[in-house]
Order: sequence, then C-alpha cells, then structure tokens
Amino acid sequence: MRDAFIDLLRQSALKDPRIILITGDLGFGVLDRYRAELPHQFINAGIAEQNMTGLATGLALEGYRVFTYSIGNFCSLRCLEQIRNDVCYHNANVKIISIGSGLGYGALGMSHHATEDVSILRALPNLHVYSPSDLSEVKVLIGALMSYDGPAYVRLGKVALASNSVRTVAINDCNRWREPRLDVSCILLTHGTTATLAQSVCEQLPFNCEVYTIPCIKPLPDNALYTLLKGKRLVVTIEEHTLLGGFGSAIGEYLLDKGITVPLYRFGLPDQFITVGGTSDELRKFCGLEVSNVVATIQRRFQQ
Amino acid sequence: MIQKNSVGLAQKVRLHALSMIRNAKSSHIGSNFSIADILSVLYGKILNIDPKQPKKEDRDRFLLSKGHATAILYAVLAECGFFPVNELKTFYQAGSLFLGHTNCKVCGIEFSTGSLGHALSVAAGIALAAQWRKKAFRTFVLLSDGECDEGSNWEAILFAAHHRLSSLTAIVDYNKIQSLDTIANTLALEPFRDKWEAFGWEVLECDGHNHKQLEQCLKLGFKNKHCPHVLIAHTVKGKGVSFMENTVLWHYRSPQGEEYEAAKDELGYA
Repeated sequence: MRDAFIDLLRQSALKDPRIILITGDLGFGVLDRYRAELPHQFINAGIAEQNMTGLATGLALEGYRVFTYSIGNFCSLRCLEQIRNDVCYHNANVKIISIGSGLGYGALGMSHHATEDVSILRALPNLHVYSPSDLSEVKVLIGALMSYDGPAYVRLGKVALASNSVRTVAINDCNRWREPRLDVSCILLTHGTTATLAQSVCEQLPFNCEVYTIPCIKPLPDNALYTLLKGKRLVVTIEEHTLLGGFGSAIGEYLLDKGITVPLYRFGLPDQFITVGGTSDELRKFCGLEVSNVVATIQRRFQQ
Repeated sequence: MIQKNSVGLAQKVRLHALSMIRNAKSSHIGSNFSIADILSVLYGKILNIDPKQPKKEDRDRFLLSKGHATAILYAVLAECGFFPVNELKTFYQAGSLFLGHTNCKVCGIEFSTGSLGHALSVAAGIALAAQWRKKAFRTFVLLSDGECDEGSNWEAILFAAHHRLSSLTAIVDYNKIQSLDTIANTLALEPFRDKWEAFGWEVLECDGHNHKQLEQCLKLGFKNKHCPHVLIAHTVKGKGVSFMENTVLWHYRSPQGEEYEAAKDELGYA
C-alpha cells in the first residue's frame, strides 16, 4: 500500500512539477526512487513535524501541491494544530500521508500505533479523510487527490494487502470486496487494513452478507450508503481503530441522521492503550479483531 | 508601493486601535501599541503592495504571527486603502470578519493567526517557493518575544537557515513583557541575538519606535544574501500612552471610561 502509493505519487510528480513531497525524516528505502528522480520536488524537513506542516501550507499558498509524509501519529497528532489552523482553515492544498495505520507497527509500541487518527481528523472542517483497502483503491485515490485542491488526510497500511485487482472501485462509493450475492440482509463495512478480515467474517456468518470497503471516510459516500443500507437487517463495521469516534461511529451518525433503522454492530479497538508486544496480527487478536470472535459476537447479539 | 508618512500613520492607527479595543471591551492594547511603528514603517515605506491588487503575484508578503495584536494591523490596512476605515467599527461584532485575531478573510491579510508559533513556518514555505521560482518578492513575519517560547519557531529557524531563505525577514517585537510577567521572569530569551546568530541568521537590532532606524534596517540593512534575516526591534509595550507603557497589566486590561479618555488625550487627536 505504502510503496504503491509512493510509486503512483512519483509517476504523477514526474508529470506535474507543482507536486512536492516533504518527509519528516522517515521513509527509509521507500522514498529512494522518488528522491532520486525528483530531487527538486522533495524535501526532508527533518524531525520537525510542526514546521513541516506549516512549511507545506506556505508552499501550498504559493500554488504547490504538497504531500507531507511520516509514520503513524507524527504527521497527524504531533502537528494537529498546524493541520487545523494552517492547512484546514486556509483550505491549503496539503495532503497528509500517514503510514502504518492502526497497529501496523505492532511491537514498536503505543507511540507508533495510529489508533485515534480518524476520530480526531474527521472532526476538522475542510479535511477529507481517506483510508484505501487495496491497490485498486489506492489508484483511484491518487486520481482523487490530484483533482482536489483542498486538504486531505490519507491513512495507509504499511504492508501490501491481498491482491484484489478484479474489482471496480470509485473513491466516493461503497466498493464491494467480492462477487455479489443474492438476497443480502447483512452489510459489513470496513476500510484500510481490515477488508480481508471482514471477508472471512462474512463467509462464516449464517446470513447472506456482503463486504464493502469505503475509502473515503469523510465525506462519506452519501447516496451510495443510503441505497446500500436502507432495508437491511444488520450493519456491521470493522476497523483497526478505536471505537470512539472512528469509522463505525461515522456510520452510526449517518444512520441516525438519515433515519435508517437497523442494528449496527461496531468492531474496532477498545478504549485503552496496548502495553504488550506482538506482531500486528497478534495485537489485532489481542484486541478481539479476529474472525472467530467477531463471528461469535455478531451471532450472539443477533440472537438476542 | 504605498508611500505614506509613517509617523502620522502610526499616530492614526494607535487611535483607531484604542477605539476598537475600547468598543470591543477586548485586550492586548499593549501588544498593539508595541508594533504600531513597525507596521507603519513596513506598510508606509517598505512593502511592495498595492491595495488595488491585493493578490498581485509579485507583492511582498507580510504575516502577523502575533495575531492577538490584530486591531492595529486592520487599522493600518484601512488607512492604506485596502478597505474603508469605517469597517474597523465592526471589530469583534457579530458577523464581522474583523475577528479578535488576524483573519485572512479580511482584504490584505495573507494568513490567519491567533495560536502562537505558526506563521514563521508558513513564511518559510512562502520564501522557499520564491527561491525555487526565482521571484524577487520578500516575505516578512512579525513575531512577539513571548512567542519565541514556542518550539515550533525554532524548528522553522533551523529550516530557514538550512535552506538559506534570504528573502525571509523575521521581525521580533522585543518589548520584554509577556502575558503574565516579564520575559526574564518567565522563560528568559537572552542572549537572544546570539541564539539567532548561532542558528545561522543575520541579525540587526534597532529601536522599534524609531522610524528612521526601522526603515534603514528593513530596506537595505541586511547584507548577507545567503541566509535569512531577523530584526530584533526593541520596543516598549503600550508605547504612546504613559500609564500603559512597560506594564504587564495592559496586556489584558481594556481601556474604558477615564482611562480611555486619558489615553486618547495622550495620543492626540489625529
């Protein structure tokens, strides 16, 4: 995901000299080709994310299309006020690229877990929030970022996901993960790194379910969501992010606002720091984000 | 370029700011008066700007980082013709764009501030764009001394020197008083000049109320073409009204009643 995104950005930057990539001294091995081919469209701002974001705003106000890059919370929470006051208030053309979404950096500990970013950033006016699930969504995301001159936050998983090149996707849509099924009564919605988990859950549930990924968390794809969710018996959200205010909450807000009456089960990370080590997969399981737990919980609640 | 009698401009804008802050029952008059002369020289003598073309590409950029001192900037812009002077009356009013901190929705304002420690980084980005595109315009940013507590400024100071942003000029309003106490009693900045120099900036110092010195420093004073520049302007908080000068009190106190009348008398009727 990360590598694919940067490569697509490189290809766009080769054609558009206004594109500038600024890193906060991270991206070892990932940014090498971009840097070699586009030395004049690349800045290493050093380990100084507040300045990186203000600097990006200044460049954007002068007509550049600026991408800031770092891992986890460094380019988001560390410089949140610069994002809010400088980037968002001025509607500056700055795209914030955060790598290693959720528990992507596993055993590196809570400093590297980006687990509250969606809640916090989707609250900022003018900011679009994206979380692609596979290469096909990364491709349409790049196109969307290039055709939109305002601020955006992009949440990228560190590792590549299972290839799913056959599906047709759009950035402002609910994108079905697998083949359509008949008489669907349950919809699983997800974003980012949890699409394959959601699909496994879907296959084990005794209902006719479909998984949809939503790459644009803000603004949500209004009409597509309405059509998809209206009249269903159950909606489930799964995300590698805190349950407080994240994507699941956004879907809950949407259902309330639209007057769609349907049970909503949300799966995500609990309201606590993870203080133990483990790979990303191990930590997801530790937090209950595993197929058997999600399936059992849905079945238990559905029977109530 | 706007050619104005900067001394006369400074007197007018102090009176405007006094009325605006009195009517709004707001604060920061000391911080406003502290920079009245700096802004008057900048807008009257230095900046290449045109109120008829406020966004012309080759204009000099000015960013007020100490956005709480915005009343006097609005007053300067009004006196320079960016909008009618009577719009200043809407300062703080419901629905007005003339907010209590610098608002870019007002004609002539480049960038909104209010939270300290933001504008120098943005100015560095603008200056970097000018460097890349070989543009001749200059970028000025006015900081408060207390604002230099913010670590983000020092990130920007490092960056601007590393990238040799010679079209960038910072001005520090060094009145030596911050919100609750003196700078010396809060977070001492001295040796202040040495800090900037150690970070690779060319430094000039002047009396921040002496228009001739300000003009000389800002126009042709800086000699090094390979680094950013900073003018440490030694100022008096509340300058122009004797009972406001050099007091912590008048950072927040609002001039009402007899105090307002006394201040107006001291400033003179423009």
